Amino acid sequence: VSLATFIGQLFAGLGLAFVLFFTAAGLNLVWGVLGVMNFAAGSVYMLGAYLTTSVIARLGASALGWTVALVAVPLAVGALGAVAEVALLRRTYRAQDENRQFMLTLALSYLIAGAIVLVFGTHFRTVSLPGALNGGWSVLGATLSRYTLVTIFLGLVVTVAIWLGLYRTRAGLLTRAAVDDREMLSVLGVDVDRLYSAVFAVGIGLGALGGVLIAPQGAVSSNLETTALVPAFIVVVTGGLGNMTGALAAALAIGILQSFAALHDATLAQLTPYVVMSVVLGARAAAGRWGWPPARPRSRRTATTARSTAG
Amino acid sequence: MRRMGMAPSRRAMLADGGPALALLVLAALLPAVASSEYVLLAASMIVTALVAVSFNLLFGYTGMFSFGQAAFYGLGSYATVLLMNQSSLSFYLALAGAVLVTVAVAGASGAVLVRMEPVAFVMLTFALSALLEFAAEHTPRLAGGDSGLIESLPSGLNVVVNVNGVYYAMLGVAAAVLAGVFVFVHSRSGLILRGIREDALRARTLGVAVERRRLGVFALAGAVAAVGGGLSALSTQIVYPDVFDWKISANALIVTLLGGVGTFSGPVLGAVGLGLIDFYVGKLSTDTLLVEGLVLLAVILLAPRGIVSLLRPKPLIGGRNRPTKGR
Repeated sequence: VSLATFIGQLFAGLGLAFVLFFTAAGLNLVWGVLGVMNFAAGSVYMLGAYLTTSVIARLGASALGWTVALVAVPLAVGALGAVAEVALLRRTYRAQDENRQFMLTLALSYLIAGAIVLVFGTHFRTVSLPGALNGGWSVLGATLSRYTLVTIFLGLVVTVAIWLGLYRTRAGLLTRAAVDDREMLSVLGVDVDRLYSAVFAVGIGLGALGGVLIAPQGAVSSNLETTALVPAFIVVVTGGLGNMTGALAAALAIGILQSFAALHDATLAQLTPYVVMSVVLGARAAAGRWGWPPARPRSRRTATTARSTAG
Repeated sequence: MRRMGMAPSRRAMLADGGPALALLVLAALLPAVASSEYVLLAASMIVTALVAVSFNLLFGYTGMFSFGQAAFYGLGSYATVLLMNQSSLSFYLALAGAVLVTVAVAGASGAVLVRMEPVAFVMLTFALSALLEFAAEHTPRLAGGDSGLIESLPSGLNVVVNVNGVYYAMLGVAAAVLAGVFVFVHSRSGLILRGIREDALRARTLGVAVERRRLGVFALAGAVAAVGGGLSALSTQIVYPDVFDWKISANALIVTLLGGVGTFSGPVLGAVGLGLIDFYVGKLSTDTLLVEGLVLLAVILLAPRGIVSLLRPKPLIGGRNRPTKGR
């Protein structure tokens, strides 16, 4: 592999990794923190992409149009997410009824996909980039697309924002506390309901942001749901549920490996996420058998749940 | 005397199996009164029901959330067609062979999978179905690649020539499988599985070989899904790599939750319910997703324990049916 190819593939892989990370980070917040295994994550991503096509159709593929799309679409979809959380999901985790949650997120994914067919029809759509973002720069013989560079830049910004939000703010502290023990958190006087709504809205908004960024990279169609949902689940599980650093590492590993695998063989590229996940999960299970990482004491919530179910 | 929970009374067993039995009787009478369009609809419901029953054995009874029942459904489908085309076995022998193949694969993969954490189990069962889909797409010599395989059938079981013959063959096989599952879930083994679902740690402490029981039910569920796959190959006469698609696994979850998770009749009722919705909505518009979403939402809000709960006031099994937490 020549240096130019190497740089080109690495760059493309980074772009892929960050798009993957937005959706996965969104799912990770919703699944890891709220414990809601969100099957609608793919539809949310698709909704983000479709809304982008209509924003760009109104405002044109200008800097203004794209700025509006990048800001307004995640906010609008996040707000919709908050409404769904308050109106529907909230009652399911109070009752600790996971089956209803599965059904609810599946129903929501059907509703979103159905609404998209109703509004946008079944034909695929495309959007174009502002002129300044077309083309690329030549670095050491490799052509680096400007758009991918913007994606990577935005990815870094959002990653830093998520990190600051989770580790340097009070809301982030409470969010991490909720991962460990939500009951204890509410006993301590934290308004867990409001926290959950906010976390859910942020998670959904991040998923939609991934959709905005993917929109110009190909056809916006109903395929997006599957192509987003499956890798997002894989990234979250590979990185460890609720672990944001792990998710970033998994997204980077999968994105870059997939980009290099594509050089070799398209099938290999498609299989990459599954292979990475299977290897990591297998290694983790094997390490667990040898007592690594050392078991943490079972959280209070798990202990009480187990007792009450057994009775 | 109590062992692992109480043996369900005869009345409770009747309540659990009654709705499914009633549907089977209706299904047997259907060809006498309805056109072949409805017979084919019922045939597709039989297939959906078997995959959902398979999923329910794992998720509803044992608390193992498999997102890869499409793997075994697809294997059953491909193996049936391959055995018929390449060795000129009769359909029933080919189906039996396909079930054996699937049980072998489920047993081998399950030996690893059942020891995994719940989240890893979900994702790796799913990965298994994705892997098999890739395998089917990329082995054109054996599995026909993207264009799939066409099944060569005797005219007696050819759906174009003899719809009712095919339908009764499917119904007969499905009824036999359902009867077997019914006996199993109401046996002592079935009770032990529910014990594992409610509290795996407690079951282990009481001396249950949790991993062995999980492996057993994983293989059994694989076999049931394989029968569904084989029957679907019989009614469509062709098999594509799509049989491994994750939407089949997701559909099994929806059907089971719609009908009533952890009950015997639930998945069967759910398959009929969803099949009817799809059929009638599909006649009106192509946008079936929206209506399905609304129906699902209505069921969640009005009958959170599924259609079965509308038929009887109290759930038969356990208080809360959800996947096990403790291990």
